[in-house]
Amino acid sequence: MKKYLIYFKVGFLDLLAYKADFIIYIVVNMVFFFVFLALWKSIYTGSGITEINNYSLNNTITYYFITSFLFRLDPTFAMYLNQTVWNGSFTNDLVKPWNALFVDFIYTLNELSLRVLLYLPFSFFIFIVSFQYINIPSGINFIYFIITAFLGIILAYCFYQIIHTLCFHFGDQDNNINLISFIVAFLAGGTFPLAFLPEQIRSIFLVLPFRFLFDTPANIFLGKLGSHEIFFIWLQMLLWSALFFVVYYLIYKSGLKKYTGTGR
Amino acid sequence: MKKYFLINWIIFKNAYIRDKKVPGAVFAGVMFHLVDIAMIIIFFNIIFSNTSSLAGWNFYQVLFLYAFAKCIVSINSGWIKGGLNDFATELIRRGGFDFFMTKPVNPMILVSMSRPRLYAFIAGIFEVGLCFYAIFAGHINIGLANIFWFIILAILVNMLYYFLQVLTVVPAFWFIKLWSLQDLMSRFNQVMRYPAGVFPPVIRFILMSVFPIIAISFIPAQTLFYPPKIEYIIYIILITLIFGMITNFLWKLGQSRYSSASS
Repeated sequence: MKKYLIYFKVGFLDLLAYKADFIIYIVVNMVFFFVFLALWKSIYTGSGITEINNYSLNNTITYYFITSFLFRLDPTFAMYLNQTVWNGSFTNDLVKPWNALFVDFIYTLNELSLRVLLYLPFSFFIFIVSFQYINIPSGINFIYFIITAFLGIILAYCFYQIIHTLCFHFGDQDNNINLISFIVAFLAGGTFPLAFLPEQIRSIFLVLPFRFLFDTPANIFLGKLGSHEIFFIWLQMLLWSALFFVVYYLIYKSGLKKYTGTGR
Repeated sequence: MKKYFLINWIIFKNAYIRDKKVPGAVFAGVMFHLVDIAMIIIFFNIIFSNTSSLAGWNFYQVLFLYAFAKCIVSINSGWIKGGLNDFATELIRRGGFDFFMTKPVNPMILVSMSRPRLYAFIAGIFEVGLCFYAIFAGHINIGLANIFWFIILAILVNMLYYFLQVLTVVPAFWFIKLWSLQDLMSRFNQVMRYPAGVFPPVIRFILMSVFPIIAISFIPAQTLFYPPKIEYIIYIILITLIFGMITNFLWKLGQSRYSSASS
């Protein structure tokens, strides 16, 4: 276990070498929050409505505040298996005395931890600027939210690894990863609360596991879900993660037999 | 000027040959744009099921604004984004910019057009289609003068968008590796989708003048739908010229401190 801890530490320091890049990335992504803040404020105040499907203006803005944080925990752009398999550098991990997949996971966790750490001051800034629109959760809801967000990372990681491991069989998956992550963010409620959707479309979205990545944690933060519902959600998240992991592992194992390490 | 057209033609021809070999990548690129359009239509439907207008603009006007903004982004993405992304992430850091500096053409233009993405132009066709759909479905009456000024402004704002895009990557001369900069414009593209009136006055002022990203989509669209305002037309001409000069100046300044491979 010690070697993995060292790897985590070294990887973290490696990422810190390009702090400016990370910080700009985070600042740039704050644009989303302020665009949606302006947009929904204009909609609620302009049309004189107080609620959209049980979402007040404050609920909606808090939702975007939370999703802006959850986007930092989205592992999509912190996963590199496709890239390393495609360029052959995955061999470096394979020949070392460690679990190559676990190391890959640690690297993703590294990047996510750094993103969250660097985002904290900016989220504090967002909170200060728009605190009148942001709902504060109860202590227990906050704990539930943290646990759900963490389970969401595992779920998303296992799902995206399926596409990454397809690289062993079908070559570079970069375009597919971009396209699928874009669709998943939408299905997960990354663009707006799923409650805003018409009933029929919403029922489709709610069948899929992606809602656990944005919509569900945000609703937990907002106190819209009870404890029993939350425990059931965690169970579903674990089951979906296990299913995705099995698929990903099977593709990986069969893909490894085809891997030549020559790169492109 | 002729040599730039010739270089551009050769680069486009190579891009076509390259893309022909990876139809999957082209398909995924076009799909990405189409999915974005589908999602935004759902999103706008949600918005307009709760309000009849957004800052005074109806559904079809906002849809046109979005489609027009997407057209500008697609043209620039197809033409220059790939080259500028390379510049922000690789060329300065690895010294690849040497190649562009040693050619008897403007390095800024050569870098910009070095990696076209033809699928963005295919996506652009759908976006132009969406523009026409919004106008016809919305029964928007447009005069000839509006069309004339809209075309003039559309050409100018494409240039302005290009200058802004270059401005966002120029810091790479100083900071060496800035991957995040390549994403800066795609984040700012978000604000081009909505009428300027949605934003608070201070932010609107900044996004209309300091970094005039709203002006790029909003002013031409406004000129198409409402009686053309001469002050808006002059304003676009002026800021295009000013940002062109600033971009050129900063690029040359950055270039003078470039010292080949950095890491």
